[in-house]
Amino acid sequence: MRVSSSQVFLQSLASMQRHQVDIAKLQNQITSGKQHLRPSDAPATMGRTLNLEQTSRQTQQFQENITVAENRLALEETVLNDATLILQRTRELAIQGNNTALGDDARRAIASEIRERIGELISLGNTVDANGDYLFSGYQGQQKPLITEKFGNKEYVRFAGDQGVRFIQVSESKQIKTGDSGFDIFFNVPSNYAFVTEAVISNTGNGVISPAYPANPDAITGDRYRIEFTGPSNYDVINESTGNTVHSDSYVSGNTLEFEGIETIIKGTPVAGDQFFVQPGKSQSIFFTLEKLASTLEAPTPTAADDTRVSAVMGTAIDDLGKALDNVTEFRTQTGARLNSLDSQHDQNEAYELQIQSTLSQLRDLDYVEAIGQLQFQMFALEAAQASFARIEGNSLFNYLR
Amino acid sequence: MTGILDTAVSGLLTAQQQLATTGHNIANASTPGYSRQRVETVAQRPDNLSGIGIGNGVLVSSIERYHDQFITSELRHVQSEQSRLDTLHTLAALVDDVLADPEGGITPALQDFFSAVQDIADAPASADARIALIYQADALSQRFQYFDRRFADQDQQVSERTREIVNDINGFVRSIDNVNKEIVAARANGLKTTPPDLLDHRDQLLADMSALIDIDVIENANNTVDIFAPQGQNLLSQHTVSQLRTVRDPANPTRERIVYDGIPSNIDITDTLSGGELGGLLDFRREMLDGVRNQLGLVAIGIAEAFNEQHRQGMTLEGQLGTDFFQMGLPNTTPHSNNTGSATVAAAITDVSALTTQNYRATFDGTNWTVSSLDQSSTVSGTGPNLTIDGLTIQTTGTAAAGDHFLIQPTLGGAQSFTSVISRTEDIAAASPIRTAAHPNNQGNAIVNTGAVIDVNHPNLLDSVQVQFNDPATSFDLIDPSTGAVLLANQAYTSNSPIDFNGWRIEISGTPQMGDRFTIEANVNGSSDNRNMLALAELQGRNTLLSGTANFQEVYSAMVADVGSQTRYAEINKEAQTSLYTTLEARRENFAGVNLDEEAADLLRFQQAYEASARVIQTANTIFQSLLNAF
Repeated sequence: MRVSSSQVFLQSLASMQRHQVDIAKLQNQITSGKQHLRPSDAPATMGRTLNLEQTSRQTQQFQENITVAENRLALEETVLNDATLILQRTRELAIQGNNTALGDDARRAIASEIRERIGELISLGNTVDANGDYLFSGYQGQQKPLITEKFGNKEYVRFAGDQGVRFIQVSESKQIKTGDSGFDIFFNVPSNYAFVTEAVISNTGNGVISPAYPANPDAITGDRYRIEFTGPSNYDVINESTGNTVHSDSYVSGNTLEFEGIETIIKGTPVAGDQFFVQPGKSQSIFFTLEKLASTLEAPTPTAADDTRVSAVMGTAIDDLGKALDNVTEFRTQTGARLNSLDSQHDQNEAYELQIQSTLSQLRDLDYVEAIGQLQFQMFALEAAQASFARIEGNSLFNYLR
Repeated sequence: MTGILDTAVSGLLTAQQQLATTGHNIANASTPGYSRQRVETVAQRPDNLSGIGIGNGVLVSSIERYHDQFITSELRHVQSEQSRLDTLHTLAALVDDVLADPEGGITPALQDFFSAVQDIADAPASADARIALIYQADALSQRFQYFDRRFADQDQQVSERTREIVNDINGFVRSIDNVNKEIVAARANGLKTTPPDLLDHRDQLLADMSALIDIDVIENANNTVDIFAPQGQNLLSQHTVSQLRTVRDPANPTRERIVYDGIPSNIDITDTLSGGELGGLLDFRREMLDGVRNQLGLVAIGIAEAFNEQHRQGMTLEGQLGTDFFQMGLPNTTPHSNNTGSATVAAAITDVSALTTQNYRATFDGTNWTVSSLDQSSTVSGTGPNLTIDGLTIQTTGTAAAGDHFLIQPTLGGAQSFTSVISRTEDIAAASPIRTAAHPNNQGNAIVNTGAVIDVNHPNLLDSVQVQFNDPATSFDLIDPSTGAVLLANQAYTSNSPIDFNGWRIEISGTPQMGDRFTIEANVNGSSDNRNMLALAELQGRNTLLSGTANFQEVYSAMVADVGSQTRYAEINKEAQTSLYTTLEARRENFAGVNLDEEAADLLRFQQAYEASARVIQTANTIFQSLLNAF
């Protein structure tokens, strides 16, 4: 058995280099804190780590989404809370005003406070969120949702937004509503005394009809009426159930039309043949209810018959106001429920994220104790290799040939 | 008398040669491939003097090297394989390294991109969120392009190195031929044995050549060697040198083929080559690089296709239908340069979810076209002009000649072409193109859902339409709300069943009353609508790829894991082969290598032999002097 000198040299060198490679890798692991430095160190683990990292980042994004949703819903909750207070106050005022003993002046004072509250409610309905978008205008964030429109001496609030509702993704499988359309909150309020009015599509004039309301609830029939223009300044009102013409008059834009206990207003320039319909409806806007209250209180009541009629109108309005309050409260409750649901989703996401992080840490992070132990062992092995190399290479027969 | 002197001188001269050889061994102790040498001696024929044979001294018969032909030949094959595996591992480790940095990978870029999508869903009108998405889309596409460029560079380097190696192989063959000639010349000049240093030199050249390509070596009677390529092509045969050269691959101009120019000449031996660095390069490209580039391309194409399709179903801030968000890479088709027909072939991606990471070949046999993946896992044939395979539609036009073929690479360019084409914040289609509403005058309790677009290309998609319930409210008409014209009459109403019209779909549920109406209209000014953004965000987790089994991230993760395990596999194989090589090399070295202690002992031995022979001369001299003094 013999060995070649260069073989001894190269072998010792190779073993020292192996130790150095191991040490460099351990040092890299220790400085980076990572168990695996490249995919080939643990291919399956690396693939799983990447997938888990995506899940983790997604969960973090859901948490951000939840924060955004919470801000929007908190704003809505505040607005609806304020609206509830306003409606409660106006109901008190209405009950106070629904008293035949009150004089015209006192009633007008109450009416003026109600008008004050209407203004406040409109500005609540036109609330803008942090991004400058209207909160209640549906998809059309830049469109002011509540717009007042004049009919003669009356002002009616019209909904100019749409019925769109925004959702936000709060978990892999769950979306939560982050708002409501102003249409549902303020306009689509159930009412037992509502009327719907409408111009026929085929009208060629530009006449517009206002909402209608029972000016004399006792005279209401529950039938459907057709207002038909016989000329630009004359119209008939026909009860479609009986076929009878119940009312005929000359037309002046913005003047009130009254027939069989119903009041409405037509403005603009209708032409002969133009038709408008008035019929009982299911819902009514809060603003219309309030407007009805205010204008009823503003009207003088010279006779006892007036008192009776006004009292009946006030009764329907107070009833409607109660329904409006219920409606707004309902949305406020829903908003609160959504906020709660966001809260619990937030907790769930947090728990999930914690679980992902702990799995990731197991897959990815270095066991320092083990790594440092290994480093010490490798350094010891390298030192031993170096020391033995120096001894062996220094040992030669030539040293003794003198 | 002279006998003693002659004998002594022969000892002296032999010792001198032995000392010289020992010196030669010491000098070459660290020369790679050097085999230690020894002086072979024989006793000279004795003189037949007075009937007794008295020895006549020593004669140097030859200088031999310690050499084991079996180990040397075995070592060549082992080294060839070791070199192949080493090359494969070195190159695979480069790809592995490219993918190693978790911060620089596709994953964070993909996540940032989808986070930006969600941020717009959170605040659809926010210009900041929209700018962020445009920026992230750009960053994502740049990341894909960067990775693909790194891989393309590697591909380029493989090509360059292949050409270099083919040149080097030719150089080695010529050098070995020269050594062969020197050996023949040395023998012709009367040397009895071939000089060991020439043989060592040739062995070393053969070993170095084996590191490039696996070869077979056969030694001839006159001590020259012949060299054969793996499939028996003769590279060197009795002074006939045959060369290899690289030519452009006629099927794929970005690649090269290796051609043998011996007898017969112009033989493509690329697929039969094995071993060595050359084999490693070809294996790396075939087994790893092509697959990685195609996988990366598949992810890019998947994102582009899914995102574009959803984005086109949305509506921009300016009320336009969304346009493509990303430019999508198209399949490469390359005609074989030997094609004689005039046909052209075009491939289009028709179903991304069915797409694979394979490349395909379309061949015409005179009647039928056959398209098959290069791994033969799927194949389709027909007369054309259109053939469908794995989510691709292959369209052939013109007249092909029998035997014409085309290379189709569906996903190779996917990552490089993946660029974001939306640059204006207004062009991000966050909204859905339509919105629905219940009419304020409705009497019933029916409600309408938000609606969905099912055919974004319908010309009337954005027209306003009203659903109007008839008397009784068990059926409805679709009317144009501006004219009252009936578009579709008397449709039976079922709660919750889809109503499709003009490319949209809505569902009405509940109990409507006669005259109740629902409108469907263009979502003009829908700046707060995030429905399309929610749909886009949802794509991140949807299994859109590989027959609906994987999402974008999963395909990428699988690619990383794939690269990791291939690199690991290459590393393990390389280590095993290296250890085999080291063991064999140690055996060769331990037999043929120089041990300096041994040489030091030899030095003493031969020095003493020299001194002893000198002493014999002195003794002869003393005897001679004694004789002279007698007179």
